[in-house]
Amino acid sequence: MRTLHLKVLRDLARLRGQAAAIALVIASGVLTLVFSVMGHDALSLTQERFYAERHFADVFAEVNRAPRRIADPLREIPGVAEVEPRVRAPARLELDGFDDPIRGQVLSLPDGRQPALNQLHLREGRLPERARSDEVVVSDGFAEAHGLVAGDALRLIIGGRLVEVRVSGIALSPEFIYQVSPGHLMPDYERYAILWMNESALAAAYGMEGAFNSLSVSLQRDADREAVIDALDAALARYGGTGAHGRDELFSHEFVTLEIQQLGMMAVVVPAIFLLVSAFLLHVVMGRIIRGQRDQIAILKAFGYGNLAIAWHYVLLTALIVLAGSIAGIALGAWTAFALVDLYMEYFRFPELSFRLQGWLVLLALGVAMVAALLGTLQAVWQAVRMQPAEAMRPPAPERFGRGWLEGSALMRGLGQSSRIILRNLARHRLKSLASVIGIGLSGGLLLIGAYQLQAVSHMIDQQYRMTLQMDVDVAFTDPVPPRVAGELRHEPGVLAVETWRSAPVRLHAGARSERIGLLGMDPEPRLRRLPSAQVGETGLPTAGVVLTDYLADQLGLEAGDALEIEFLEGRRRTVTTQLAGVVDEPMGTGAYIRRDALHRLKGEGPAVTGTWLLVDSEYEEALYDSLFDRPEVASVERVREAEANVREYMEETVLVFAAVFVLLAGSIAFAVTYNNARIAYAERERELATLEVLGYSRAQVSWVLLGEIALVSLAAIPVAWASGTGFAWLLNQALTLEFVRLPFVITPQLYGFAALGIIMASTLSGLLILRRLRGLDRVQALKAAE
Amino acid sequence: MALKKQITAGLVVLAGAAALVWALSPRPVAVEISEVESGPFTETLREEGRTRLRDTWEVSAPIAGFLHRVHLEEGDAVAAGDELFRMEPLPAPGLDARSREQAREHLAAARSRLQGARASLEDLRAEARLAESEYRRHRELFEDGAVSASDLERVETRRDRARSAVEAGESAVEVARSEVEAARVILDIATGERSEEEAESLAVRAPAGGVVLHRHRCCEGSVAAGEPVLELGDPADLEVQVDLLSMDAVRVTPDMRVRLTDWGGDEALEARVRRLRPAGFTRTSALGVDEQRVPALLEVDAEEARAAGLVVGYHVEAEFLLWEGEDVLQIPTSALFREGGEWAVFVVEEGRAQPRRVEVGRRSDFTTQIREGLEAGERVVTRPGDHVEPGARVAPD
Amino acid sequence: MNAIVAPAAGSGRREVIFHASGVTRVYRMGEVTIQALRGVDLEVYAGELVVMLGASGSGKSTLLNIMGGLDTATAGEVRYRDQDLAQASERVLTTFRRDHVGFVFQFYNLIASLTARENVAIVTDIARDPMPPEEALALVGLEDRMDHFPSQLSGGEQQRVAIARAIAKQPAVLLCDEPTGALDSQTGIRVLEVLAHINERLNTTVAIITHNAVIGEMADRVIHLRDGRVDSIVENPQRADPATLRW
Repeated sequence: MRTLHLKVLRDLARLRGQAAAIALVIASGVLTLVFSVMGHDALSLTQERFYAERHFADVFAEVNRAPRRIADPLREIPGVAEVEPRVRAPARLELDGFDDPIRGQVLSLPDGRQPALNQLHLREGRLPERARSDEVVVSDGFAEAHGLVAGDALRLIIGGRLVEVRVSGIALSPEFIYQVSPGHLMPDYERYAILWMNESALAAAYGMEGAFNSLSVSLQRDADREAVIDALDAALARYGGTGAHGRDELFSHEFVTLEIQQLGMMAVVVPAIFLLVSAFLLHVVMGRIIRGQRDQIAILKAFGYGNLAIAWHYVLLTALIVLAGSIAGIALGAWTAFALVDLYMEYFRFPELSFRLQGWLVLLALGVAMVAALLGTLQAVWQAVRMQPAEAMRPPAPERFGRGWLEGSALMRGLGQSSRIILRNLARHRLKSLASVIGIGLSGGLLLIGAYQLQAVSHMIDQQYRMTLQMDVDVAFTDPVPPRVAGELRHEPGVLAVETWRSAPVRLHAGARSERIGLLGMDPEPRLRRLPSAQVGETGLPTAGVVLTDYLADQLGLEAGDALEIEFLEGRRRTVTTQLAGVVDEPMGTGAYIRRDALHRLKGEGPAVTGTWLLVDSEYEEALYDSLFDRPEVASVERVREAEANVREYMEETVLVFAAVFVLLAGSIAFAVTYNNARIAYAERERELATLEVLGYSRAQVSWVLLGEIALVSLAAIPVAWASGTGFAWLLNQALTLEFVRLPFVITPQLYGFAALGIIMASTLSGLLILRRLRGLDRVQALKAAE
Repeated sequence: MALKKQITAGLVVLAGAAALVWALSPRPVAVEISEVESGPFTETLREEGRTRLRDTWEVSAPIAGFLHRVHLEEGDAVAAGDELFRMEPLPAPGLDARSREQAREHLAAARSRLQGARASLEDLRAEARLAESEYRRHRELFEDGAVSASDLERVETRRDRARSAVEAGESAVEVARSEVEAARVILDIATGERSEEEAESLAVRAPAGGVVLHRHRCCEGSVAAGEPVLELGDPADLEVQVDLLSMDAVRVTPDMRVRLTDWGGDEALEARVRRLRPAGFTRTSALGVDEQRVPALLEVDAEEARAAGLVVGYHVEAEFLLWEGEDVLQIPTSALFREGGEWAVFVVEEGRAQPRRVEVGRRSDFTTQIREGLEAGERVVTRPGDHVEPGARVAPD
Repeated sequence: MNAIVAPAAGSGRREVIFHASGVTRVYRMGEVTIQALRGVDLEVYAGELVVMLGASGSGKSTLLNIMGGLDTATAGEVRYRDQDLAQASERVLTTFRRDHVGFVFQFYNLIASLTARENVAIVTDIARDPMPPEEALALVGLEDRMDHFPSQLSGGEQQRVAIARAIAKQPAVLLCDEPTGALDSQTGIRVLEVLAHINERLNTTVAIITHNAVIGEMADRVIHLRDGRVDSIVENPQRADPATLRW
């Protein structure tokens, strides 16, 4: 067998260009597989471990105010392992040297020690000392943004009272892996902080002595979570309980979990696309190789090599290519994964994040690539095996040749002889030509999908920040205030226009499904926040009923006109029934919208406002902010332009990087595939081309015959690229539908132009290289090749 | 033949290249475009207000005594002079000489107070007549242009003040009269002319017709002198009070038209500014800082109000029509941006956004008047943001 | 005048190495049905050098292929020694070819990516009892060209490599299909010399197919084929030395 293996190696060496092309495609697929899986595992394992080590609670409940003594008996609820009452208070922070208002929430710690649940992971410093009421532990994101260290001073305004505190330590918490202020999507570490304080101090500041307003519960291993939630609700209802819930309603947990899911999805879809293309390429290449080696196979069979041995040696050929590609892919994938760590660490505050390349992943990658490759080559190898040696050594029957429809057409009549040769060649080898067209088309499709991602993200951000959000500044208040705040704000320096809103936390119920969301009550015809939808249209918000983002409507299984229930989670707790009046199509976030007066009616309260949008004269911006920050009721002032910059930065660091890498890979593949095809075409036509030269055709005409075929195939591949690219984009769009962000399925002429350009450039480059080869064509040798 | 083929081939290639270039060329920035319009423009001021009765009477117990059960309920109508409730004076402390003397002196004092109040009232009435004529004179002079508007206002204010004072004086007389009655009763009791057994109850009567708005005391029992028992008012005499910020108040003039919305019905109601209270008051704003507010009183058509079913204490949204214009050149406020300290907009010319300086005039939240720099029919980019560069190609979204 | 090189093999009892009777072969090529053999009766004796002569289309290649186990007969009986070949399975034929037969084809069919030595080695790797590739190449006179690739060898040299390849596994039978067809006469003669040499030295049964009648002079017997049947079998009293052949 030794020499047979030697043959494999020699063949591989001769095919190195084509083999490299295929290996590249495989490498791309394996690369994505590896880093997605590594990322997925790293995140999910780290999340699991962090939760377990820090005793992350399973169930959470918020109440208005409940006496401490009722917490202990709750342990008796079947299924409950541990119960931890605590005080949670919203706060404003003031930091020397930082002018903007800082929002925060303060949580209580049992004096001087770690709580039983949701423990802190101290990065620096220590917990507040038992007797101290002026020490706090701050979240690490916030500390890092402001360069805070243990000992630094802060001012807190809790419940209207100013409290001077010092940082005793900096910590992370499993509850706040993704540190975002409520209602926001991106972390703003400078303007949002989470703090932990001794219970006695916090309770005193917030008027909660002997009471608690937040409860964490951990469950026993096989506990019935729903039953525990029901029991808690029953016990806490009279204290203003808003409904206990599991981890899935905590934004931090949800966001991290969704990211993990998305990685999981990406680990399947993208490699599948790449490996599909590579399987196809292998199919074509191996098929041609085997057909070209018919006589060699015949000889081997003649000399007694069995089918198994022959099949095996071709499989080996494939395997070597796949191995090369896989190893490259694994190495690059691992490298990419390690490069991603820093990125993830910035957004997810884990104590540590380690990506590891597991042995089983290497095996999986290899296995998957191998299976894909083998599926591609199976048919070709089967043909090799089936060939009768005698038949193989007979000259192949002349191609069926007759006057097809192409022959008599005007097209043929109008073309020169060389052009006719090209067309005839293509028409004769219909299957081969089709295979080439599809191969190139698929790689062009990959180009399109790469560009699509870039464009879709940009389009989405544009849509959100140019069309939907038209305000300059978004001011949120600490408590609901009377509507006359609009007049007050109109007189602030630089304010050109004011539009008020009222946001209320609610739970929407539709049958068995429910979603917790902030219901936004706006003016009947909101000017500063558009609702992109034909249904909402010119008449503004409907007089009655709510409008939901299409994603949310789907989640709840609702259509326009259906009834739904709104459960108010603050103030007077009531549940009312209303209608879904319409659906809006927003790519970012999920929203529920209603007219402010309708909201007041449903809520059974008088008019109130929890925030406003402002149009601001840039000349007076600074003065405006100074004035706003002086007002105690102002909880946060968000400059929309800055928010957009943050989102763009996040998108650039994540999606755009992936998309750019994708385009690079797809481009290389497109080139590799076209070059591959050109090489094969050249090899197969060598004799014909030499014959033509001998017959008297000029070098230019012969070049045209070869290049013309390549060009025609590439051009024919362009519509295939468009079709397959659109299909891939749709697949990706389906796979990456997330709660918070949904790439719009928008295919523009630019994408088609990009794919076409890519194919043309790749073919041109390949053509130039083949031309070089053609120049070195030794006519005599070519003609003497096996007849 | 060959040439023709070559030319055809050349053309085909050119066409393909052109298509490619078109497909790849950067798309114009998608923006929202609005047309500069000339049309009606209203500068308005919006503020929340509430309905109240123009005049109310607080009817209180004239003396300390024993209140009989009040049969009237909130909503009952009474005419002027109707008996509102009855009460009995407290059982007499005793028929001693000292209390008799005291009661006599008490009566005398009450009488003289009544006289004093009457005299005061006369003075105030005279004052009011004087202020009224002064105002009329100034008015004529103003129409001739001899005095300034501010002078006129000053005089008008004085007139208003005088009128208020007269009202107050009238009330004072009433009060004094009741006091005399009360003193007489006490004396009668003290001198033994009234005894417990013969004690008559005192009927307190309605000073004016109206409807019982509030019933502070319903059940029988002892009352202190001056304790409010009933509040009367004429529900038809509805007005709206809007507490304007002082900087807004200076832009509001009496007789200004106001639209009332958000009171619970579909239609907007019309109202007029009756007057502004001269003195403002300080209170904490919605956002927690001090602010100066001036109450503005608005007159609503009584028929309309009744038809609308408006009652006291309703919340309304008042829109003051500060200024109205017919052919006012206007654009959306969000189209404006600052350039070098001056206002500018992006005008869409031949598909490109060109910056242009403009001079702005009045502003009403989302629409701004343009005084100079634009013509009607021109198109501007509604919200340029950071994405539109001068000269960039733009297209409607 | 044929020089006497060696006496023809004795006409005493000779071992039959191939036996064919009533062999028919029909196959389709594209849209055409071809009757290559229409009932062939034939015997080949061990150790003889036999030439099968016929025009193109006479079925000689088909017969050779069937004898060598590269093809099966549509009907009839084919035996190698005691082994039935006509209806044998693929696996049996493969084993048969591996252990007993060597082939030489008109167009050499060397594996271009292997050197001369490796081309021989690829066969010796699976042979039962091979000779070292170097020895086989020495037998055909190519000791000093062993590490050249086929593209670096002349036609004659390539054919000699093909012969070395065929004999390296020391087969009982060597089947040659137009071995000199692609060569000039001088090179062709050299190749035939090698074949004769092997027939004598190793006692390998050699069957050569050709349309060139002159070559028949070097054989023990010449089998004439026409239209898929054996036309006549002629015994040569004496075998000519290939060097004396002229065409």
